[in-house]
Amino acid sequence: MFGYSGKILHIDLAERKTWVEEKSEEWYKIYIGGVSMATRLCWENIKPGCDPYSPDNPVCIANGIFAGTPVPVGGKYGLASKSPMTGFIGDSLSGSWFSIALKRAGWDGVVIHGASENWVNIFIDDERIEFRDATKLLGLGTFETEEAIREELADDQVRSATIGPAGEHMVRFANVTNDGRQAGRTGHGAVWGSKKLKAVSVRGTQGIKVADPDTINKLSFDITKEAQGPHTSKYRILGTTTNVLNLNKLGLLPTRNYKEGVFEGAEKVSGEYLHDHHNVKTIACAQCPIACEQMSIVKSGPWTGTMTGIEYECLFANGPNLGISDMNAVIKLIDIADRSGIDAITMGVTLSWAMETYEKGVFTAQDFKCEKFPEGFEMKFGNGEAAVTTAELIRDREGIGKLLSDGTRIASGKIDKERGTETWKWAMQSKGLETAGYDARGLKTFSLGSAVGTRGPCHNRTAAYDPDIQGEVDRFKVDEKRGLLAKDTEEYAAVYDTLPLCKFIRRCFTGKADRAGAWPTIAQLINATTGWEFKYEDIDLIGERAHTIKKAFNVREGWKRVDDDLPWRWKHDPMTKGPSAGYVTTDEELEYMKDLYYEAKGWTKEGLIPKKKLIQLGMPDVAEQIGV
Amino acid sequence: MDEITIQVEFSGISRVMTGESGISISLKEGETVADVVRKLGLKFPKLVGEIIEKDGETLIPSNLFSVNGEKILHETDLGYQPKNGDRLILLSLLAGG
Amino acid sequence: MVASTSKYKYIDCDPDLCIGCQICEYVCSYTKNGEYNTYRSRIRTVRVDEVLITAIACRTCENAPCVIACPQDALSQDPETGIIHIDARKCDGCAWCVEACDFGAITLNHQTKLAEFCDQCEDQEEGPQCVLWCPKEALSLTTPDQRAQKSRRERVIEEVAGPKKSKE
Repeated sequence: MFGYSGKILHIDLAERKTWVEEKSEEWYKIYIGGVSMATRLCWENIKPGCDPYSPDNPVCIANGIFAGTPVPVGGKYGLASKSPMTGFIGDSLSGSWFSIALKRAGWDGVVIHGASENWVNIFIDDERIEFRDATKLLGLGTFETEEAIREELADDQVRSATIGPAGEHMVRFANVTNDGRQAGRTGHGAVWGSKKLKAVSVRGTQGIKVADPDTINKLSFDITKEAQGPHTSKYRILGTTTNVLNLNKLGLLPTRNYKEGVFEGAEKVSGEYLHDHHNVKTIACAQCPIACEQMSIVKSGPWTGTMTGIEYECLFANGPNLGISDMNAVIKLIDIADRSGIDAITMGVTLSWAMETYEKGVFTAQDFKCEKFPEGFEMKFGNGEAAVTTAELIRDREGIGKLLSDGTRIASGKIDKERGTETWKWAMQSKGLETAGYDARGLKTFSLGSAVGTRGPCHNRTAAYDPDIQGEVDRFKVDEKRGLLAKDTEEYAAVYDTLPLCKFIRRCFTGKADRAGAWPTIAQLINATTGWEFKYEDIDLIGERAHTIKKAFNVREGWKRVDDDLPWRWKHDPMTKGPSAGYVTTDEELEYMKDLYYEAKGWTKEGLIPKKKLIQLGMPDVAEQIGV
Repeated sequence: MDEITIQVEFSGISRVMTGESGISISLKEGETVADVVRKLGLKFPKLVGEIIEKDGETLIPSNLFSVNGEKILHETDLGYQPKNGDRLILLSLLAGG
Repeated sequence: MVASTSKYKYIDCDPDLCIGCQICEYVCSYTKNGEYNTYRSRIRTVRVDEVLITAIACRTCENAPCVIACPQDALSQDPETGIIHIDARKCDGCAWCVEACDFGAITLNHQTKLAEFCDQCEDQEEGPQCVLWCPKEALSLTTPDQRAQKSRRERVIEEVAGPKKSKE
């Protein structure tokens, strides 16, 4: 088999034993890699209904089909577990070296079972697996942990996926970090923390062969050169932070806990400003010829010298969303998140909930008592120092951090029960996962996509903001096309998340990013790697299958139609300023769109999947367990 | 013939390329967004090949205009006729972050 | 530490342009060994502190220390090009050349037990593959004189016309 070794590595942390599972070529043809394969491995190896923090919740790593080859942006892997935030599938992606090392070590996937008695660093050294004591690594930040392991093993080519102190403390939205990139959002860091798993390190020394290297080389070369042109300028020159002004001008930039969509300080926290005043260098993930990561530094003030990579989503959550227009504070907050191993989006949206809760008088300064500020402090919008201190308290699970480290759904639930308040109304979450950098009140199709998302209101997984924001449809109205649109965008995104390929390359195949523009080249790349004969429709199927296995997982874990919902603010509290003011997505509109969406997917009115559909998609065992 | 004035706003790549945050453009009655694109290409040749197609007539995909931040003109919809005082916001859309 | 003469070419990497993507390593290992494996690449990227990034390949030193160090006389330097060549029959994988090279440009193939280093793809019609592929044009096949000329030219332009704005 080309493109795969055919082997999944299983590790039991409690028994300290390992075994190899061989998978058939047919299995790979259906699940491919990335989020799809990771979810499938989770489906196969989890005890349904288990607590996400229990030993029965497996950690599933699925490699990428193109990892370690010159195929641009193919160096990515998928990570899945049951999410402690949502109780549904937590599927994440991360890029760069780790996937390549794992590929060269000869593994298509890794499943980690059980929990370790002592803190452990798993070392996958080609076929040799070592359980290394991780006590010395405790308390180290994510990057520091990687460095320490590399030094200990004296090899630059050892790559590690690690958790930081936040994961060690089981901050519910802690993440897993590797090579400066994050597998974020759903709380992987907390799951690893529950297993006393500090890091997974890999060294792979074997070469990678593909079925048709001449075609792979030719296509890779062409795409590499195309990736230097106008189709990637915005990523290369300014990075994803270009979106700050884009969205501000459309009235969609989440401001002060999503109260408004226009931020008066937007220019000072824009990508343009960041580039002119803070940029050090723009770097790339391994195997990426684009280079979009804007390494930015603080040059003055109390946090001078802080340097980290800045992305739009981290920026909005910790800038405009907190009413902060001081770029230094934003960089510092993102740096805290990166080094502690915390999901920057959820951190920002949790901080903004705390700020609104303070400004509405539910919290007082006393609630923020801590060692640094024994009298507490004013957690007001715009207060950078307060945000930084609170972020650190979250990382350490101290003071108010104990409450906030569980995310907005649990935090608001606790406070409302304690104090008889309604802070849940401004907890910007759905299914337990916080919302991202687009305000859905001005994007109707995106409202639908956010509500039905399998891992929660994830902008990345649904991508349903696309038709709204590209002027394909009227973003302020609802019509009968929205169901099909939301299905199309999420399955399109799922293809890239499964191979995986970074979505930023999508215009570099033919200039057009739609299926007709991208699928033929993707099919060529897959076939040249594996020797298969995938056609256009097979690429469509990759996306549909990926999304279906995730949905099936959720159904088995107890998902119901009522779980597909939006935060209260998006349904009841319109913005008052800017071009998107005055709009909400009503319950009526949402239920109507959900009907359209379930129908477009071929599901029942309750959103369950017919047996026939699952069998059609090549998942007969799934059909038997949850098909209707 | 009546002349109208509109504001074209730049951000992102267009701002980097032109060095401006925005400019005023005069249009004759009946002129459309397509004419605006043509004028921009002539005034700022750096935009051609980056934001504007080499033919100077249309926008490279993923670049589009919003009228006053509310209406979004699809990249193929260049037939819109701006009104006096309209803000045509040039956006380079991108996913992710 | 000895330096290259002004006549020998070598593969040079500009750290301002290098993004650390490693595509040069995949392409080199494929060209030389038929598989994608950064362990078998003759050019190696190095990243320190996230933003200090560059790539290193054989610098074709004058009086190459590796040639002098080899106890088996397995290495020789072409007097015209400065490219190092290895006699596989003589090399016994002792790794003294690896010690002698100040740049870390030599590695040992643990399967063949032979020393490996950049030969500028002299057997390839298009020349060095890494230079061809580098997405940011950070790599060049250059002599020290040419490299210095490039720096001087850029400096003058910067002095007279003002600093370059980003990556236009």
